[in-house]
Amino acid sequence: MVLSIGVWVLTADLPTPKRGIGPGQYPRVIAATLFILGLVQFLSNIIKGYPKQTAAVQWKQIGRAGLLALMAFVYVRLLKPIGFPLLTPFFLYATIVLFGYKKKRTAAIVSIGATAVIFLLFNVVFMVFLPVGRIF
Amino acid sequence: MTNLMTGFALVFQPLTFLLMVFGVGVGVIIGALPGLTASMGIILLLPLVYRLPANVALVMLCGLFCGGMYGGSISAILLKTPGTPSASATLLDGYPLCEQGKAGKALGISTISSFIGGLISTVCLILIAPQLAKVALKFQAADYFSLSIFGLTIMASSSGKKVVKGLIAGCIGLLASCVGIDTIVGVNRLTFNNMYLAGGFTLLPVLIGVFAISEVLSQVQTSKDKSPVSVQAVTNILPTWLDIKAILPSALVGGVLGVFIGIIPGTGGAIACFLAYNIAQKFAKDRHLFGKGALSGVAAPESANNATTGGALIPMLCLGVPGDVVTSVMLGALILIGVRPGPLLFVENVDIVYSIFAGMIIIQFLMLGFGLLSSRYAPLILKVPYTLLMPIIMVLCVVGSFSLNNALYDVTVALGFGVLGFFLKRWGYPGAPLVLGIILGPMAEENLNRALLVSNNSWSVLVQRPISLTFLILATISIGISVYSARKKEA
Repeated sequence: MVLSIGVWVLTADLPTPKRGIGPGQYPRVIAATLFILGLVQFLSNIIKGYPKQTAAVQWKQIGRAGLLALMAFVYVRLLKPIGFPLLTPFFLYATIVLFGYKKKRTAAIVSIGATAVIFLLFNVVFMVFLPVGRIF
Repeated sequence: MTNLMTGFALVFQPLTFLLMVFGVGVGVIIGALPGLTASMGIILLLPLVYRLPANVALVMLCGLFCGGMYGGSISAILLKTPGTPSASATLLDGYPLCEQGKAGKALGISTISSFIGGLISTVCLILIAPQLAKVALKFQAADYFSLSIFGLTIMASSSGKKVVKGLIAGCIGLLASCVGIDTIVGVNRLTFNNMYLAGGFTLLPVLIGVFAISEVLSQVQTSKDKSPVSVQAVTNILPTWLDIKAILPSALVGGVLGVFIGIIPGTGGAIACFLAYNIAQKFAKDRHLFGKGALSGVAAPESANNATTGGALIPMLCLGVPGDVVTSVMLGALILIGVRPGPLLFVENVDIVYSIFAGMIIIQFLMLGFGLLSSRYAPLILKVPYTLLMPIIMVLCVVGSFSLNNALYDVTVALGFGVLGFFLKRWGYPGAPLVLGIILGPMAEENLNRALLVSNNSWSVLVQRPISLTFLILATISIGISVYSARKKEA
């Protein structure tokens, strides 16, 4: 509902042509539909009640996913300065550990091996030149 | 017939053939691994897909689609865990057979039934699709707009009892498709004066985010380092002639049923397999064994779920409306490689259409060969720990979205949609309508504008044309049925 109100406000001053649907009118039609659907869902949640879940478990689970998302965002930010070949083994290793894999040596070998295979596959076969960083 | 022969000529070119084998192989492996889906497989292959000629890329994706559908049965039979939801009914008799030491026989029957179902669906695809495309050529702007709405509602209503959530996800997708420079007047819309957003959201990063990154984020929530699964050795894969004769009626009925379920947009293999199982349970000769290890109990659902592949391709190719989640990802892949599915495809790109037809026939034989030869090694595939696989998939997602324009902005978009997809999934909102909204959004806007221009801004044009009215009625019926069945289940 918040999203639909936001879209309505943001598209309010877009031009409206005399014939056809304007650039503002079309998203506003969708926003209005979204608002109604949101209201139906909100009322349905109030009537039926929200599903119960232990707060601690929920936050622990979201926390792991959030940490992975954060790691991925940082990884992407650092890709250009550090480069794919140097940074990816560390990212892979950290992600494997986050997933709960116990054998550290295997994790390290897989991290380095997978990085090498992906780097060669994309650079040589697909001709997608992955960032190599400022060191190289 | 000449067109089909041309299709065969292309399919048998060495590169195409090799990539088709590759597609089937990757599909079977991905389908066999619980947690990985055919749609994720297609997404991971996208960096390769848009470097290939359209028809070659398409037959490879069809191979992955069919292989993925079949692969789900391997873990259903050996682990009692379906690799894909479409193999949910297979485990009911497949696993008891495995417990009796007949895992090889169950896998053999599953492979042969998948082949039968796939072949039936391909024949139906070749016969029905061109006729439906001829009808669809008569569509006008209003009809196309209503078709987009129908596609969205049908995908939303396939979300079971979460139909409102499905529609909300579809609307969010439609709104996301509005971001960027408007194609009609040319003004910036919902861009916040950001130059990157002016180009709108490119489909590939969105697909990667919603279907692959969100899945990795969901898996990390509950992941634990599990000890390697112990799987029974697979021997005696080839069934006897008597076994094949016994399962043939169930496989044939499952195949026909699967095609028609596949054609209905928004349904898919999961529904088809249970329906076929229930029907087979009523008339099969070995019905007294159902639930305890009946071969027909494996044959019917496996034939049905593979038959949905050809069925699901019919609305996608003819109308541009996907039949299920995998075909919605395939639709996105097609658009990426510059092919717009719809009736015009059958006029402008006949070679592509007939390559798919010829490819689908060959894929069934490849799947049969691959299944019978590789079943022995299936336990090895199932030993791959997903705690190692998921991080590699995450890196492939990053590299895949980067490869589109060699730009880190696309990777950020993919991660953003991954986080959005994760939360939507967590709160019970399906991802497929969101992506379909982004795909169908421009088509809906363009055709609505054209219809209003022609009719002097009269919205009644949408109900005055019979085809448009039919789609709108069908859209209403699909929502009505979903709401009714959800209420019935709750009561």
